[in-house]
Amino acid sequence: MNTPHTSETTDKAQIQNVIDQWRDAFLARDTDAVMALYLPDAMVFDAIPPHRISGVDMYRKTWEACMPYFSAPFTLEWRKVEIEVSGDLATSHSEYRILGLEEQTEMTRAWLRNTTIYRRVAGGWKIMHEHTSVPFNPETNQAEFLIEWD
Amino acid sequence: MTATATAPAPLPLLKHPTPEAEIRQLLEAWAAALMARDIDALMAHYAPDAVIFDSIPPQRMDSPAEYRRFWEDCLPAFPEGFRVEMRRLQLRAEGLLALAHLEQRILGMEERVPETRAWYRTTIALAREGGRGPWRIIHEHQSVPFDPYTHQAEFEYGHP
Repeated sequence: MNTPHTSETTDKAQIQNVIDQWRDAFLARDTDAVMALYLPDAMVFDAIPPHRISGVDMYRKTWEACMPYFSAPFTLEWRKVEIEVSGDLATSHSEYRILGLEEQTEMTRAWLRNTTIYRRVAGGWKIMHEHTSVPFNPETNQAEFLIEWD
Repeated sequence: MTATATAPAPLPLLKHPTPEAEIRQLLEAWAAALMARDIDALMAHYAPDAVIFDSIPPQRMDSPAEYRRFWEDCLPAFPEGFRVEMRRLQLRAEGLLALAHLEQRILGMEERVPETRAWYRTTIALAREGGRGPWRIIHEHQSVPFDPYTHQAEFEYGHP
């Protein structure tokens, strides 16, 4: 018997809700609200230094160091979001990009690949792992930025 | 020991396998298939709708057919006897879904191709049909980080 609050659609909507909360907290430059979405021992593979972030305390410092680069109003856009849920474990993969930054270089406009792993704990769904990247061109060994000007 | 192009032996049946043990075995079978240059055996581990973010372009591959072609193009450049090494595996399974992250590198070509010296970060999602169906990879994300000033890929990642 499926009760509405445990249906697959509801679980996927809950994960989308975490993504939306992350977006809103980032747009608001609210570090506390962003960090509240992570488990204390979350492991993050980031595209830029520090490349490997072990634990939310370390991630908070990284995040705070980045905030000065987001002084102008900016927007975040997602595409191709796919979510899978099973019990108290879930994952999403998607691409997202940042638009509107003052210094809008190739790098800052690129579509970033993201894969996130979530666990449902007492406080709800939390991020336990996050992997963000762009590919590199093996002929030049340079990061390859996928830009779409629209 | 040189790699030969024979089909890998079928996975031995584990007596009472936990999902975690099954996934570890799958990862070893994946590496063995790659080292044997057996693309059929490699692709058998992927679901038909798997989505792949690889460390080199394209940005994404939305079909195993694309991924198969990718390996058909790349494998000839790998030297005889190359090895796949894995470390830092963290894995969690629940019901019909399993999720893992780990680091992998290729040994045996780092002199010729320095970028293979890197430890590649990998995140994977696997799903199974029914409680006893085989696990298949539904998503794979592998990357090397980069330097935001030079845009150079950071091949020293994972090295002290």
